[in-house]
Amino acid sequence: MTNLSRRLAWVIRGGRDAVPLRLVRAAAAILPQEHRVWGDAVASEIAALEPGWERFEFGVTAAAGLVLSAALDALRGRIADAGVLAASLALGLSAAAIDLASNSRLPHVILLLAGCYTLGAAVPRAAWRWGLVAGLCVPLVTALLGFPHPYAYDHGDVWYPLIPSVIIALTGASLGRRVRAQHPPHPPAR
Amino acid sequence: MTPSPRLSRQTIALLTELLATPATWRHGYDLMKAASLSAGTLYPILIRLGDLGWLDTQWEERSDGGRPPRHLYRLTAQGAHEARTMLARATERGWIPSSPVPKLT
Repeated sequence: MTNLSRRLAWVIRGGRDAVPLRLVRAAAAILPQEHRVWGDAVASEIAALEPGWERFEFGVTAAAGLVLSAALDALRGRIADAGVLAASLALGLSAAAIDLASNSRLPHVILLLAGCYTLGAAVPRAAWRWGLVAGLCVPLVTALLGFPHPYAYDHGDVWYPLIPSVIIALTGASLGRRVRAQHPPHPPAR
Repeated sequence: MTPSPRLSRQTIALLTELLATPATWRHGYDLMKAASLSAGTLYPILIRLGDLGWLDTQWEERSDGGRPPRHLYRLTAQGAHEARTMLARATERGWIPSSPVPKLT
């Protein structure tokens, strides 16, 4: 039985008066953690209404609203992720271009690590992705160009930015999470 | 650029209602009725306003008859300022009929 059908069965078993509250509890469970307290807010409002059609309608439509809010949150997250992936790709391609044009590794290493750290701090969720995408660009671009100088003789050397990029993106994510924990995004206070 | 909620008819109705009595704490059902919204429209907008820091929230200190305390809402000072600016801009552009935007006293 899927999660959804289990939830529906749980809602239906509750009877007409309990259904709105159960729907709201089920809907609140799919909200992001910082928004779940809104389930309590709607539940307290339902409890203040007299049992009957109005209460039923309020609860059912409010539950639908919470589901919509969860869907919008997920959509915003996906759009934000696509933007950061594009930024990681741009960062990696820039680092690859600088690497191939320069005699020193330092400029592109600094760019890559600072960029991955910033991206990780800005969007901490699964931040290893930003490091992986940026870090893979140098070997992939170099391989596509046929391993030009300085990788003409040692092809394996081209992989060196990959692991540091992932590690530094995760380090940035750890900072980002700490900052967010100290400045939460205005959840309703209880 | 300061993030702001989508300027929908429903958001305008809710902001207008909240601006009408900026110092008063209002509960969800009251706001729903006053702004002629459904609960399914009201709560996503309230959540968004809360995320933007426009909405001040608190729980009722005392409740009657053993029911749980209700959640109460009003605009923050920043929210009231932003909402007034947003509504004034919308009125200027003709997106909403010209009506006096309530001023904070």
